[in-house]
Amino acid sequence: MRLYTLNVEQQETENSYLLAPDNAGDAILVDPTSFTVSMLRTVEDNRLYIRSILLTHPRELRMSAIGTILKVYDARLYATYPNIHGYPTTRVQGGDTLELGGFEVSVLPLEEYSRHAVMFSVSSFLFCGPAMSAGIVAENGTQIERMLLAEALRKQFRQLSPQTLLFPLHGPPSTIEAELTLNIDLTDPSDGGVL
Amino acid sequence: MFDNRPCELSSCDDFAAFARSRCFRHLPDTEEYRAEIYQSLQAGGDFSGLNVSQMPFVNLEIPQSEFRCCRFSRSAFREIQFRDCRFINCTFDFAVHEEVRFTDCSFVHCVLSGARLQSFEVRSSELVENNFNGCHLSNAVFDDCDLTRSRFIGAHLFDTEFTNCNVREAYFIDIVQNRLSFRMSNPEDAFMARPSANSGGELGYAPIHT
Repeated sequence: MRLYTLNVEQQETENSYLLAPDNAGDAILVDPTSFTVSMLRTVEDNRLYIRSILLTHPRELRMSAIGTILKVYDARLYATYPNIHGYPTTRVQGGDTLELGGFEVSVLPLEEYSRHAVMFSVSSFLFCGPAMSAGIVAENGTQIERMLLAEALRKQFRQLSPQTLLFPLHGPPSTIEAELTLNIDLTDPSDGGVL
Repeated sequence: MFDNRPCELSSCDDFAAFARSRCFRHLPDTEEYRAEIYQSLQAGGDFSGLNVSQMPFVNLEIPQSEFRCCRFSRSAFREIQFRDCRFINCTFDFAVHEEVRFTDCSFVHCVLSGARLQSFEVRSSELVENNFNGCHLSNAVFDDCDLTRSRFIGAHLFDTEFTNCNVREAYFIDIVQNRLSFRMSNPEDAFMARPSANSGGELGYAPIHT
């Protein structure tokens, strides 16, 4: 399995990820926020075809990229919305398991962030979208709502391997172990920490 | 790219070491394996999906190389010099670096969270958007480096210098510091306090816990 962080080279502030098989074949694009010539080269030079597009939280994505990608590739969108700006999607919800291009994709609910938000778990990768970034749980309303989001994330993370790599929409990657042990927002109040 | 093969021992949660079916800790021939990896690294080149987590590295000079999606988690580095190396999507979380020097290197989207970086030098390097959260740095020098959008949330920064560095939009939130210097750098462009819902983030100095 190969993983490309597509915006790394362009120094964009939002991250998109491309999951690909070891050889040529169908790839999965996660949270495309732009689609540049460099990204197209990454796909084409590796003899990949974008067959699936996973959206963790469609409202926070710039949709123009998706329009461009769908003109180039016959890809299917997976999101919690039935359609996005006129593009039909395959609706997903927390608890679903998808089989995409040989990858098993688990959909993890995250209603505490938004009723349309989900995370996607593939092998030892977790794509968490905008709900959190390294060291910081997203601001999503009141203090209570943020605490509930932190609690939901903590519960989800504890079910994953500590070595799972966390790939957020914003900022650098992290690991589940690093977040559970070092992220003050995720400190368990029952352990004596403070949210 | 990332090599996610698990260690063949069912009781182990770690990933298998590069070109082996077990993780480094469970290899029967750790010394031979180390020698092999040392030889490869000292020759330089492109490394992709190299998993050498938990392996000790001592007294090495690594020439021009590219490391992509490599795992060095919980590894120990002592007296190592990296020159003209590029690290992309690599993990060094909870690793220990002692007397390690990086010159003319670049790190992009790497995870160094929870690492102990002692007598650690990075010079003339790009470190855009890396994760140093919860790191313990002591006697560390970042000289002429670009640390744009890197994160040092909850890090301990003792006797640490950022000289002539760009720390624009870097996060130095909840840090513990003693003799931390930003000489000829731009800490006013960094986040020193937690972003609030209203402000979208506060730039510049904020009270620092000592």
